[in-house]
Amino acid sequence: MSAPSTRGIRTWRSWLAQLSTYAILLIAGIVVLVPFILAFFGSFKTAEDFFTYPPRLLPNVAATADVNGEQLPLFTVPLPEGGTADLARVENGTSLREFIGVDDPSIVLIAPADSVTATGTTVTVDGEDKEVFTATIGGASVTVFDNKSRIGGTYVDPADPAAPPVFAVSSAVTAVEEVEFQTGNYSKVMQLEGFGRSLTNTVLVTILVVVGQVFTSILGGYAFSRLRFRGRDKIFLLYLGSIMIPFVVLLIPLYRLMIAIEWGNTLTSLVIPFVFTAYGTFLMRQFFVTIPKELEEAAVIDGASRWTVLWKIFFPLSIPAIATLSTFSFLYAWNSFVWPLIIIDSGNTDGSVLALTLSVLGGRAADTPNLVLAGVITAMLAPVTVFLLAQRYFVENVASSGLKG
Amino acid sequence: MSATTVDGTALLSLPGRILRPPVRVSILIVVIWHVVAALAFAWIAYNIFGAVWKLDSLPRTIIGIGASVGIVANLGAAVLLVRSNRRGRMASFTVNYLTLIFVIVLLFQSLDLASYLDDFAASFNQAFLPFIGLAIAVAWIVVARRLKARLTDSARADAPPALLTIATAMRWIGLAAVVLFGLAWLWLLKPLDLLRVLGDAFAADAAVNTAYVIAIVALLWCVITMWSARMADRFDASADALEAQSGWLFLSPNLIGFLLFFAGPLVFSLVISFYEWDGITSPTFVGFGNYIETLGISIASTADALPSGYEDILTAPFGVIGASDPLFWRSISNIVVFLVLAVPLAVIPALILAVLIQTGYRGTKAFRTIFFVPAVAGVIGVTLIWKQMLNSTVGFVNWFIGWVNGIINMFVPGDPMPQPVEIGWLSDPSVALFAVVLVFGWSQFGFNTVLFTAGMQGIPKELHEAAMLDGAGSVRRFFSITLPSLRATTFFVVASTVILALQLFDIVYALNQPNPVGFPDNATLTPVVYLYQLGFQQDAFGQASAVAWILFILIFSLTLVQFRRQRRYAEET
Repeated sequence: MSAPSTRGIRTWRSWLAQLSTYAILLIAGIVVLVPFILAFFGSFKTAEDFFTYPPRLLPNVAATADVNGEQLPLFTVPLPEGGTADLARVENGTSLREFIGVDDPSIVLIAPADSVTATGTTVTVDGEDKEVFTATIGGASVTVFDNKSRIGGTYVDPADPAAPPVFAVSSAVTAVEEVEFQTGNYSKVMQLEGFGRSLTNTVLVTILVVVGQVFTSILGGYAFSRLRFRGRDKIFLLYLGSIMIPFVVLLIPLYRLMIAIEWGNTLTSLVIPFVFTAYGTFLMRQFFVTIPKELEEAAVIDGASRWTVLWKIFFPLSIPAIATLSTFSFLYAWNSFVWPLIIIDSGNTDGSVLALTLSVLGGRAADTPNLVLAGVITAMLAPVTVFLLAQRYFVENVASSGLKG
Repeated sequence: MSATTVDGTALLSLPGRILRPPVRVSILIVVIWHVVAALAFAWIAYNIFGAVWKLDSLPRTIIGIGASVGIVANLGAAVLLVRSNRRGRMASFTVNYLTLIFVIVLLFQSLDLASYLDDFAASFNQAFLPFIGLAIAVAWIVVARRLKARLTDSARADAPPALLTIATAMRWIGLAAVVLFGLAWLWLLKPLDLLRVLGDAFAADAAVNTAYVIAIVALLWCVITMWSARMADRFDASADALEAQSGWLFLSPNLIGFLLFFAGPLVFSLVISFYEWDGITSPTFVGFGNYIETLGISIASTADALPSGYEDILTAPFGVIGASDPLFWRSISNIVVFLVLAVPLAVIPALILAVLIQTGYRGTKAFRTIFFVPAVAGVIGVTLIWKQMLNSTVGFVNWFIGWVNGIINMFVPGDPMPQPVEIGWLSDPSVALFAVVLVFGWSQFGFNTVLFTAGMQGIPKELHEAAMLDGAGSVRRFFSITLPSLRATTFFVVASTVILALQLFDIVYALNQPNPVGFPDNATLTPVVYLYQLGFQQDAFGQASAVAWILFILIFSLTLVQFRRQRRYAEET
């Protein structure tokens, strides 16, 4: 709990305590970060790559090779003489036959019918008469019988396409894969469901909400902290009480109000009602009361107006509080979902915001999970960056006020 | 300055003299304005009460009352001004200020500026790249300035001059980029097109809009005149009165918004919860009908004996419990199960991790930041990531369970579990709620960890040191010092998590897309999801409001209990 004593000799117990502390924290950190890491790599996969089991971390694609100017898929193919090779598939659905060694049944040759020479004799296997042929495997001649018909592929060595091809059934080959990042997913998702437009809409709405909220909160906080007027403390109490009221209660009346004043389905409805917040006013007021009165008195004696005092003296002193409030309102505005869901029509891709478009995209997770994750990563970039930059203010403030935007 | 000399200064001060006539003339102009305004309000009142304008009863009442207040207030202000009453200045200022805001709102509505923002958003989209460039350039300048400030810091007087040159160059590059990107941005925004749209909106109802603009200019003039120091002198305003006036003025934007978009709707929500209303036809008063309909419970010996309209929801040893709104009770039972599972998941790991972070080993504080990331990354985004991970056939969660299971099978004899594991996290009604619990707990525990670490900073170090001297181990100290000292924090964390969990909506919605909310088989139907269904899919606004208020009362009583407990702890310590 307290810092380990440096005076005493470190015993193995304190080492163990330190080790287990780090181990548990690390495990928790992994639990937190793994979904983000999976999403990050997932956003670079192809859609087909999601449907393989077991799931893989890195984005894989089927490898191809150039054969006579054509890009053909590569497969690991078993060779008749033993061993395997990575070969390009020139034809799929070739009619093949399965030949089995007459003397040694462990020899199985998959080859087209015209690649072997008929001997004219037959052999009886399991009570059935089978034709016997002579085949050449790895330069040696082998006597085989024709077991049954198979469908497979024709494979050639991309380095030497003129060499005799190798034949194999599909179940015997495995596709050669290589790691490749599909960076195109990000430009693709921008075209999807108006995602690009909702990104810029979200930026615009967030900027307006943050600036508006900071502005009204500074004015209100100043009035509550520095100017005396009748009823001030009662109104402040009202503001405080309103912080406890869940937004859920406001959903329906605010929706009806927006419809009544014809603001429904507009970006304005995402901005103006959220510019006035009791929480922000409270935060600024709490900060302003800690600023010593002497600082402004000199300016007031010099004849400065209250407006000047507020912007020239209070504003620069309150940068930490303003940073906290901005971060709060930024995260709130950027991530807000329920209100846009209600007020923006579902078909209005031009008026949508990120959280809303993401949820629509999420409905397509079945066919294009890669694009969904690319959208998710894009949408998360801004709030996570802002949080990491501002976390010095933000985490401390959450710690002291216990409130969330 | 003599009136006969026509020199440059006199000409230049002419607009000033017109805008600032002598005090007596100014007051006369304001009085005339008040009479004009009163007449305008009277005209509105005539149209409302004479039923010239056909309106619904609610807007009719609101506008009617507003116009009547407008007449009385303007005439009152005019009378006070004429009689040079001390309160005249304040009254006139207040009336004109509120009217000014009202007319600005009218102009806003008449020009349809609400949808104008959407037009602007289209241009903003076209001009997005230079905008990003502009933002980066501004950030660049800030960094360059800091760098330079640090280099010129007296403590580092020995900084090589080359670095200083680089810092200065960085600033100039930043400034050039700002200018370049700024111009490109403005060019791509097509300001002329945007102005044209505004002009068209103005011309669409030119007469009315012109009247609004004239009224705004007149009101602004009246407001500024009455605010001025000479008017304060003229009406003998005390310093206290001036301070109070400033106070109201500074608070006004916030307060007006608060009343319009918070307090007003809140009252409306309470009122409408006593009505049956589909949002189209006029509401019917039903008293507590919506609440009774929602909460109604009846107990009978058998399901058939329940009163009509009641469906059995639970069979107890003493009989059958029926509810008039089984879906509501389903949502309540879901949320109770959810709370029982999700709250410990979001609180207990947070407590343990907070203890570990507070050990003070190097680097542990960084984990606090990492744990916080899920809470800021956006609920919809993280939910969609989990949705992919929870996929029953190819998701990582089931693969991980299979992998762990494989290891267990190696050591534990008996029938192995099937491989691969295919749990239908999103489609199987019996586990769907657990998926929600998982996502909620995962995204919430980091936030609670921060709260706990803050609470622990309040525990005096001496307590631990004394216990250590007495030979108490770390586990012992956790249970006998840390946990009791954290009672208040723990209670706060639990209560705030419960309050948050009661409002669960986003995760459920995003996990179920494109299936209907509450999928599968109402297994994830929460109270807010139910409210959403009622209000926005079935247009039962009255009943939805009743559900909202029931939920609110639930949350509010929890908050109240929490405040009481916190105060008691504060008094104890």
